[in-house]
Amino acid sequence: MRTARLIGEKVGHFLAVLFFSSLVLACFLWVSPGSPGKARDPANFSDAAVRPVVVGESELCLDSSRCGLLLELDESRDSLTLRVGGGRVTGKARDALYPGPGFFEWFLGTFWRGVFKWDVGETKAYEPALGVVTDGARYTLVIILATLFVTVLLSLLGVALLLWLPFPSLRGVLRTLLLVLSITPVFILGYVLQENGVLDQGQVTVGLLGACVAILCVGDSNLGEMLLHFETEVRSLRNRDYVHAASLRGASLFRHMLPGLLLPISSMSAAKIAFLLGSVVIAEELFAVPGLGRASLQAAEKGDALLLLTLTVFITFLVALVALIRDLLEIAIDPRLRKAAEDGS
Amino acid sequence: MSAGPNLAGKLARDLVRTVLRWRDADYRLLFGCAVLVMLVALRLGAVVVDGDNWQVYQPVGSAGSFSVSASRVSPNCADAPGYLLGTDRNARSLALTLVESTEVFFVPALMSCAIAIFLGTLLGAVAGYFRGGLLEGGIKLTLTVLASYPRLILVIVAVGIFVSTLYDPGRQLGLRLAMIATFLGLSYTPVLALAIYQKVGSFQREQFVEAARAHGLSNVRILGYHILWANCAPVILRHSFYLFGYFILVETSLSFLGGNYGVPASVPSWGNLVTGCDLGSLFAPAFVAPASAIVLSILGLTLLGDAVGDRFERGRT
Repeated sequence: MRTARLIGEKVGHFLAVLFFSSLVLACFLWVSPGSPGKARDPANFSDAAVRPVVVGESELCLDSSRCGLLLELDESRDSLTLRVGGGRVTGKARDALYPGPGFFEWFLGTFWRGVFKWDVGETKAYEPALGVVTDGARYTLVIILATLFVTVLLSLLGVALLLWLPFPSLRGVLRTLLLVLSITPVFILGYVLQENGVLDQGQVTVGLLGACVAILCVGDSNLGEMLLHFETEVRSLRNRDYVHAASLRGASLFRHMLPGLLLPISSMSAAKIAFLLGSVVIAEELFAVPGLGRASLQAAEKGDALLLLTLTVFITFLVALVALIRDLLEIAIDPRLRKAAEDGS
Repeated sequence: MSAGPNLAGKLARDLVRTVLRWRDADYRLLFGCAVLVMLVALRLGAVVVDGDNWQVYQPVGSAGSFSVSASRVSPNCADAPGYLLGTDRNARSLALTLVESTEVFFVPALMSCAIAIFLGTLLGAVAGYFRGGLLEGGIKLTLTVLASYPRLILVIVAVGIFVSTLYDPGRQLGLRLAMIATFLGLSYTPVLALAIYQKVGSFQREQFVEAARAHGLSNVRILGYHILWANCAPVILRHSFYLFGYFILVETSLSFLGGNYGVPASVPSWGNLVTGCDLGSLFAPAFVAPASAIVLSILGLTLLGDAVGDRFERGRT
């Protein structure tokens, strides 16, 4: 029962992180120059409802994106101008005609309700924002998962090599090499690969491979840091009593050490997912992969607040989800946590 | 009562000892200090160098002509006589460009460190000292929320929506660098805060803290002087070196991405020097020089952070 409560706490923490991270970002976007709270120029007002305005006794259609009509009031509000084909209204007239939404109306009513209805609205390029995110996620998730999988695999192989190597000086050289490789920024290796024709820009399949290669080889200290961390963990595991006992019994060391290794692997993967999502921006831009990172760059360039919010909330969702999976794995693997929960301590 | 950690004195003594006893030399410390000195020297050199009055390299024969055409200027020329390391893509001295490039990251990196140190130390110390309450829970949730944004994406979003313009990428360079520094400092805050939180938590049960409480010292005095100043300075120093290196990585990466996020092409930066070089050969100085400067700086600062942490932090071996 207490274990269930512990799991509930973790899930609650995940939901709180997701909500508050989106709230902070929404506040941030709200005060930006392209704030969604500001009344928009009717000439660029794509999602305007058809709104009848009475001028004298005649009704006018103000759906400007379709019919190109623009109604302009001057500052003193004593004259009314009707323009055809666009233009710009300013200040009070725009606020009076198209009042922007309030913060909570936009954040909770439009954005979060839209998330549950799977329709948060359109981007500045008139595409559904969630569609852009799901399209980009297909590429980015493949890159991230492949990168994590292969990096962990390579790190474990590297640990085996480091433990097997007979000369301590060789281990030192290997560690230094790995550190230098890890420090090298992703854009330098990617640029070398691209400029030397190893990978061609614009070819998505090759670009995916290239992005994986670039992130795997250099990353943000992923490979080197993971390897050194796992080496320390394996060394400490080898000194545990139960591993000694298994060794004396002639049992498989791998089978006994694997559960102990799963915890550092999951915690390291969770810690590294945010770094990978950062690195993937550069790799996607470099190899023209239409993933989340590239979409973020383009949205930032256009100042598209809705798309930026949707993309970043999705990215923080991924980071928080991986942290939740790590926490649940810890509860499943580590009997001490369950025991502590059952004891109520 | 001790007079604080005096880290600079200890570091200098260690450095001398390392040089004298070469068998036990800590090469990380030596290399890291050398890189740090080089960066400071380059930054001071950038003050002396006046980038506006640089001579653009022109091959013999073009200088006397009435109008110098752009095609006769030699960018990325490795063996331009009188130009150390050759010329960059704008046909200016590559060595001088490398020196001037330190202007765009040095002060913003220090600013980023100051923001992370102030917020990280404050939040981590308060959460670590006043455990088990609503304050600790609130601070930990705030730190988790901050840590859930990937750093590079947070910086790109901030720069993109506040100061990026498609039409004039070089506009508001100072503001842009300040924003990069601020948001990178903010995004690094959880890392430092967590380290301080754990450190302060581990000191809660130490005898000197109990003794200070028994003497009736205030919480501010115990936390600020006896725990943070006397015992946590190495942690802060270590993370400052890491963050300095990380700032160089982010600034060069953003400059590499283009003028809308980092430094525009008209202003020299190690990142846009890599982008602009004509990569005919991997050994061309126009590529090797800025790429090596980036890698060596980050490597040196990371190793220096490791070495300082290993030497001065209590409980580390």
